[in-house]
Amino acid sequence: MTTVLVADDDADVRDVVVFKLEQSGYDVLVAEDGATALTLARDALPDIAVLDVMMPRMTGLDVCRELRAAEATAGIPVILLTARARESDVEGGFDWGADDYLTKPFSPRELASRVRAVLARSRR
Amino acid sequence: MTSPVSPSIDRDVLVVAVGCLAVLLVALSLAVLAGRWWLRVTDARRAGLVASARPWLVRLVAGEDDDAVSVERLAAVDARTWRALEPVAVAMLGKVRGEARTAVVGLLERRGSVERAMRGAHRRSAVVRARSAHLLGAVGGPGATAQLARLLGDRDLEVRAVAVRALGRLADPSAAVALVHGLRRTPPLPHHLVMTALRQIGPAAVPPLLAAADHADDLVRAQVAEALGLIGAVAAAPVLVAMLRTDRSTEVRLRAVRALGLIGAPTPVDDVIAATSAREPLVLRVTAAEALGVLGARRAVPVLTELVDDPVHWVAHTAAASLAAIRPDGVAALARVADRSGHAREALAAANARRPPATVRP
Amino acid sequence: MTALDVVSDVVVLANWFVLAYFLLLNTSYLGLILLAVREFRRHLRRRPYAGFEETYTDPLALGVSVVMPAHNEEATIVESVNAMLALRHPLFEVVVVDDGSTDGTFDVLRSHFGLVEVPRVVPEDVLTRGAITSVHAPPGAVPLVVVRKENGGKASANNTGINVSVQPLVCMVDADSLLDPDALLVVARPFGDDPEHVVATGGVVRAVNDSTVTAGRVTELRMPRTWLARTQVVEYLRAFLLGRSGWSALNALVVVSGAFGLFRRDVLVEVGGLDVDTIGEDAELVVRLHRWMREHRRRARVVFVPEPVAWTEVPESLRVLGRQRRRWSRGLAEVLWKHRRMLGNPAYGAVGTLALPFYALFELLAPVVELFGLVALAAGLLMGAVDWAFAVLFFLVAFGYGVALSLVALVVEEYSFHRYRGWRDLAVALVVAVVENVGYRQLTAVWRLRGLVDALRGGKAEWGRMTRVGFASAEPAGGPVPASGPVAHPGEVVPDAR
Repeated sequence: MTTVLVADDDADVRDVVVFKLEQSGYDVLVAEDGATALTLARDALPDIAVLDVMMPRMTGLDVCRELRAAEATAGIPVILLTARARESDVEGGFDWGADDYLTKPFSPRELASRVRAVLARSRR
Repeated sequence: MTSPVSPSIDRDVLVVAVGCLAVLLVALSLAVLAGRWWLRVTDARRAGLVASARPWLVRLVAGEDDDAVSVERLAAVDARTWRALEPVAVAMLGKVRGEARTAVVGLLERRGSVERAMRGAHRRSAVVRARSAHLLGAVGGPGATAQLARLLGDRDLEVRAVAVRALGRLADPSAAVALVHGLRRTPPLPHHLVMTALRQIGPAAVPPLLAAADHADDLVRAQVAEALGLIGAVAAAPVLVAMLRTDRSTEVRLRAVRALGLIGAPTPVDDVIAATSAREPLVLRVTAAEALGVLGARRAVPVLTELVDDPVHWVAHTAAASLAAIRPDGVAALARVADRSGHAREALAAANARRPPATVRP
Repeated sequence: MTALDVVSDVVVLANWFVLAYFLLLNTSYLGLILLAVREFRRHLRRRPYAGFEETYTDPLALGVSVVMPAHNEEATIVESVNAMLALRHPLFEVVVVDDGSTDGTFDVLRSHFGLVEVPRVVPEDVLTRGAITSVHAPPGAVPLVVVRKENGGKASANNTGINVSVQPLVCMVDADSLLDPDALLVVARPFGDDPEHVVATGGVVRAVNDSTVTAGRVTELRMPRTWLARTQVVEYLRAFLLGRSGWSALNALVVVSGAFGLFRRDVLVEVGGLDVDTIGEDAELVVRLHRWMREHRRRARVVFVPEPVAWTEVPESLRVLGRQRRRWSRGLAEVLWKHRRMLGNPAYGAVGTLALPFYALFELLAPVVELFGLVALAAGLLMGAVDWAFAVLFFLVAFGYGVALSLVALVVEEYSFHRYRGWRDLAVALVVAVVENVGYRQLTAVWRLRGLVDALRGGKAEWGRMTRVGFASAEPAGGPVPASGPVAHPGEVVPDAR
C-alpha cells in the first residue's frame, strides 16, 4: 500500500488532507511539526511527503532539504503546501528539490490529484 | 487623657466595616469559584458539541461523493451545536478554495450566518460589527464588499481593522478606491493592513494610488509608494522615480527606492544607484543598496563593490549582501575584495551556506 | 502638656499617616486593576477576529531577532534554543550570546546544531563590555546565530545581541524563560497596528514551577508545590499582569521585564541600548526610552500585552528569593535616582506624574512605611495612645483591603485568561490571597529594605559611574530598515510636550 506523509501544524488542514488521502486509498502518516515529520520520514520511508512550509521546529523547506541530503530519503517525492504566495518560497522549494507545490488556500481535490500525478511520475 | 489627634472610632461603624469586608471577601471567593465552575462546564459542553459535528465538516470540506449527506447532517444540527461550530466553519473557509470552499459557503448561507452578518454590520455593539465583518470577509458574495467598505469608516478602530483585512481577503477590485481613500482618513486605517489588502487586490489599486501620489501628507505619499512597490506596478515606475528624485521627505524617497527595487523595471537603475551616494541620508543609502540587490542589476556591481568599503557599517553590510544576490557578477566581485573586506567574506559565507546542496537524487 | 503627651501625639499621628498611606496604596492598585480589566476586555473580545493566522503567513510582517543571553546554562540551553526556534512567526532569527560561560554551554550548542564559525562584521551600534571572540551559525537555513564573548554581565550580553541582530525588532528573553508558541506574533502585533508610535512592547511573565514542560512548551499548568512559589504566582498575577496592564492603559508602562520584551532596534540604538552599569537594567531602559522620546518631542508608546505568556521558574528558597528582591529594590532605587528629574515632572507625561511617583512612593518606600507602621502601631498600643478599635481599623485597611485586592485579581484572571483549570489550584490560590498579604509581604519588606540600604550605601561610586554612560549618540541610527511598517524615525513632533 502507498504511504503518504502529511505534515502541517494546522489541525483543520491536517484533518482535511488526511481524510481526503485516506479516502483516496493511501496509508497516511501524520506529523504536526517539521522535526517530527523528518523523523517519521527517516523511519518509515513514505512513498511521498506533503509538507507545509510554515511549520514550527523546522520549516517544510528545511525538511525537504534534509530529505534530499541523505541517500535513503533522497528519492521521496515532496509536495510543498505554502501559504505565502511569495515567489521566493516556491523558487526556494524547487531549489531544494521539491517536486510540486500548492498554495493555501488549497483545494483538497487538486491536492489528491497532484499526489497521484507526482507518484505516477516518480514511479516511471 | 485623649489628645486632639487621638483616634476615636465609633465601634458600631467598625463592626459594620469588618462585616462588610468579610462579606466582600466571601463574595469575591464565591465569584472565583463560580467562574471556575462555569468555565469548566461551558468548555466541556462546547468541546462536546464541536466534536460531535466537526467530522462531518471535515468530510464536507474534503469533498467526497457523499457531500449531500454531510450537508444535510450539518444543516440539521441544533442551534447550540451550530453556534459552537460556526467559528470552526468560518476558519475552515480561509484554508481551502474551489469546491470545498463553495460547499462551506453554501452551508453558511443555508444556516443563515451570512444574512445575520449583513444585519450584524449595522448593530450597535462593536464586537458584533467586527465579528460580522470577519465573516463577510471570509464568505464574500454580493453586497459584502459594499458593506465592508462602509465599515472602513466605522467609529471603532477594531472594526475598521477587521474590515480592511476582510477586504484584502476578498481582493475585490472595487474596494481599491475606498482603501486608498482610507489612507487619507484621520485617524487613518492601520497602514500595514491597508498595504497587505492593496497587495492582495493588485493592479486594480494602481489608478487610485497614483491619484493620491501628490497628497500633501508625507505619510500618505510614503504609503502610496510602498503599495505601488508591493503590487509590482511597472507602469508606476516613472512616478516613483520622480518621488525618489524630488520628494522633500526622506521617508517617501526611502519607500520609493524600495518600491523600485520590488518592481524590478530596468530603467530606474541609475536613479537607484544615485540614491546610494554619500550625500544622501543614511537610511536612504542603505535602502537603495538593498534595492539594487533585489533588482539584481548587474550594472550596479561596480558601485556596490565600492560601497562594500564604505565606512558606515550598514551601508557596507547591505552592499555586500546585495552583491551576493547578483549572480554571478556580484559574487565574483565579492570574491575579489574578500581579502580586504570582512563584509565581503561574511556575505560570501552566507551565500554559500544557503546554496542548495548538490542533488543526490537517483 | 507633658513630654509623654507629645510622644503620644506623635505616635498617633504616625499611625494615622501609615493608615492613610495604605489606603492610598491599595486604592491606587484598585485603580490599576480596573484599568487592566478594560484592557483585558478589549484584548479578549478581539481575539477571535484578530487575524493572527494571517499575520503568521504575512510576507510584510516585521522580522524579529530573539536575543538570548546565556551564562553557564549547559543543562538547559539546547532545549531553550529549540523551543525558541519552534515559535510561530514568519520571519525571525535567534541570537544566543554566550557571555563567557565557563561550562559546556557552547560545546553542547555546537554539537547539537553542528555550528561552524562564520565571518561576521558586528557593528558597534550600542556600547557593550567584553569583546566578541567568535560568531557561529549552523549550516543551512536554521535561523540561529551563536556569539561567544568575554564575560561582561547580562546587560552587556544583551547589548552585544542587539549589535548582532539584523531584524528591525529585537526581542530580549532570558535563556530560561519559556514562551507560548504564538508569543512573538502577538507581542509584535502592536508594532504593526501603530507603527509610528510603538517603540517597545512587554509580555507578561508567569511562574511555571512544577508544571509539565514538554519540548520547551508548557503542556500542563499546575500550581507549584511550595507555598513560597504559590505565593509568587498570585503576586505575579496582581503586580505584573494586572498592574502593568493598568500602566499600559495610561501609556505609563515603565517596566518591561527582561524576561520577555520587544523593542524597535533602531530606537534601541538611538538611546544606546541597555545600561551595562545598572542593576535594574530592564526598567532603566524603558524609563530612558520614555525620557528620550519626550525630550526629543516625539510621541512614543510602550505597550503591555497581557497574553500570551513567558513562563519562568520563580525562586523556591528564601535565600534566593531574598537575593532577588534585594536586587530588584536596589535596581529600582538606582533607576529612580538616575532619572530623578522626571519624578513628578509634567513634561514627561503620565510617566513623570503618575508612574514614577507611584514606584517611588508605593514600591520603593513601601517596606519602610510598612515596617515603620507595624512598629508605630505596637508602640501606640503599648503606650495606650491608640486603642484596639484603631488597631482593627489599621488591619482592615492595610491587610483586609490587600486580601480583597488579591481576590479581585483572582476573579479577573478567572473571567479572562483562566490559565489554571483545576479545583485544587483554585483552593490553593484562595489561601494564598491571604498569605500574600499577611506574612509574605512583610517578609519581602525586610529584603526590599535591605536593597534600599544597599543602594544608599553602595551608592555614590556606582551612581558616579552610571551617569557616564548616558545617551550614546544623537546620530540618526543606521541599521536594518524595516521592510514595512515603522517609519525611519518614530513619532512626530508633539506640540504640547514642553
